[in-house]
Amino acid sequence: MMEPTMHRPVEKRVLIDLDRCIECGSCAAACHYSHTNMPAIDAARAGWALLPVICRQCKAASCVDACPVEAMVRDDDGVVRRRLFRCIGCGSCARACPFGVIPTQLGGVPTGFGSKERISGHQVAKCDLCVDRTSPGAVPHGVPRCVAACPAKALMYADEHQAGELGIEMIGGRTTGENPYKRR
Amino acid sequence: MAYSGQNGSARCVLCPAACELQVVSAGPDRWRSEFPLTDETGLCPRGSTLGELLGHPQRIFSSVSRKDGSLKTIPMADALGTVLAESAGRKLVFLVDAHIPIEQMLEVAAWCTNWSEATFCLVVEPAEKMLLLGTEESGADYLTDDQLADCDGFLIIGDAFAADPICARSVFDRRKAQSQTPIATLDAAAGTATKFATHRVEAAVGRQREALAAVAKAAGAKVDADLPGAAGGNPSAAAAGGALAKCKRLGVIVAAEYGRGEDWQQIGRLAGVLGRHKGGGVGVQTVGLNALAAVRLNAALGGVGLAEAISDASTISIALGADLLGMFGWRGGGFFAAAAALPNPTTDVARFVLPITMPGEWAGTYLRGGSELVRVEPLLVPPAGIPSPAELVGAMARQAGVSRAKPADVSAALQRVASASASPPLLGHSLSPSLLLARRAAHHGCGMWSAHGSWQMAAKELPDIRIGVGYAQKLKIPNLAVVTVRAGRQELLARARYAPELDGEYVVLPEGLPGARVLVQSFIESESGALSAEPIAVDLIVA
Repeated sequence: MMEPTMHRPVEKRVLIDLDRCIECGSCAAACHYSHTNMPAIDAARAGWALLPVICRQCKAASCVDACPVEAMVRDDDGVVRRRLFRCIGCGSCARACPFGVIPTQLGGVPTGFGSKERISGHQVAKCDLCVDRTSPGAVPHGVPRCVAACPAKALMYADEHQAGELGIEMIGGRTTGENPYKRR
Repeated sequence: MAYSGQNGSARCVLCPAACELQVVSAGPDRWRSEFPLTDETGLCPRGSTLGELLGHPQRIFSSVSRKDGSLKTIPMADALGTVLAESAGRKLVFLVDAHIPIEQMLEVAAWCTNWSEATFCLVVEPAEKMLLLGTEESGADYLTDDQLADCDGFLIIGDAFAADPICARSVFDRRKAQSQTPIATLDAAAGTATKFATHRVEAAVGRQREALAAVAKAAGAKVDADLPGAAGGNPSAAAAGGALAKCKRLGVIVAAEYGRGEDWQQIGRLAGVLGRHKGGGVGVQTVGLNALAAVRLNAALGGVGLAEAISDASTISIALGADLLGMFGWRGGGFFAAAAALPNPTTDVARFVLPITMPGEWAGTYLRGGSELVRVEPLLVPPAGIPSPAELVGAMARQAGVSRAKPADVSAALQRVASASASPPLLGHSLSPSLLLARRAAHHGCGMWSAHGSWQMAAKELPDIRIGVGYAQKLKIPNLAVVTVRAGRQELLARARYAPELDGEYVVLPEGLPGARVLVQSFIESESGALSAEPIAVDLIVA
């Protein structure tokens, strides 16, 4: 059963080592091909950077609070997910996200594989951490596909507190806290 | 030649990384690539696309003939009979895509041995073929991505990280273990490796060979004194060479860019000489896992060169998986017969279009790292009735009444190619702005394989054209603006993206896009007869 913001947040997140990212797009392609053509990873388009922007699974998830139809929820495993058939595509979550990781361009269930035609254009794409591989009940247990696909090992599926041990510096690490707006 | 211990797994054969992968069902007759659960071995966008391509809606399943612009489906046997009848009395040349396993290459050669009217050419990107001829000549060892991790310094020529993203892992792992590891880059197109460089070698377009000679000289390698650049005069090359001189095992990672074939042969030779001198070797990042095998086998088994194959107007050309017109950027002409798994610019105009199998459906042997033979299993069983390139040649030969000769021995045929190369003149003129075609990870080589992928189509509806910040501001082109790139009568719509690492008045497009290759068309050089293309001047117009 899923209830909005009632459960503990996930312990592990997808972390990016910017000093290893070669901008190859493998993470975005892996997400696209495994999430029915609704990729939840996009490259930052602003400025000069071309780096993947991936959901941080915030402890205080603004997208969950902003969703008017309870389509965006934190599930039993602590993962902030979008419930496909509740989503009305209003874009509230995309606007509420302080990190801009939810694409404003709406997707939907494709009518044919590889086709751009959609049954519904009323759904946003949202990272679910490949819950079929990472949830505690998943057997065998694994890592999200973007992490598995990263050729340069720039993506890691790890506890943010392990960042020091992994030798990476957390940029914006504080904003995974309770109130990202307050800390900006 | 030795088989590796990891035989019998399904692998991506689109680049030398040979990533293991599997496919899973994504609906009726649809598949997608799947990723290891815990073994984070990586898979680039091309490998991710491969699963979808196996069940792509545009897959060619039947033979068609084209007459006056209309298409007519015909049985395969009739198509082969018609092709043979129309080519009677003329020479036939099979232009075979080099992604196929070694067994198929040997099979094609065996059929052509007893067929006096037919010959074959194993098609490798022309610049890559020249690069490989250069590294062969140098005598350097070939390093796999795993072996690169043992090197204590790197020289990266061209955008090798885009050509084979997995090789970046070895470089970074080494740098993490030893933070002072020198990473020198030599790339006029300022690709992704450039931003990780400890030493960046300045080299203008068409002058990379000169800069590499200076690096090799500064690193202590023996280079001809009369070689352009060997006399010095490039401080960045001297600094990089000085840093690399301290290495005990140097990894030279090279990816050839489109065009300037003879230049790449010299670069390959110099790269090999430098790698060998510093106790390491070269990692050549080619299109396809079997490019080196194709170069060796084409020479050993009597295949003709690509320029020779296509320059004789009286010869009938049959493309088997190779997209000749897409590769050369040629449009407006015709083509006799093309077999392919998915549509491409060559099948779009061919008089006869035939279905064949594709990467992911072949079982066989591939050459990895210059001496390691790897057995690759198919991801899927090919569709019933669809022949492989070798089976198609065999079917035609049988219809022509030809018997097959005994295939050559693999180990004997895969020996190094010996060639002597002359030093071609450097590009003497300066063009402004020059258009370069460089690697991107989404596409590779002639990009019609991966260009059919839904992510590739959705994510890159407009290709990025990279431009230096200062130069873009001089031209008043905003970042992310849509621009028309015009070269002569050809043009392409692209999105300008500022690239801080890019100096000079250059703009860079992905070489895997057939649309980009139309702007920089290949030609056959009159003196050497080699296929090449040179940087050209373009106009940029903000749309």
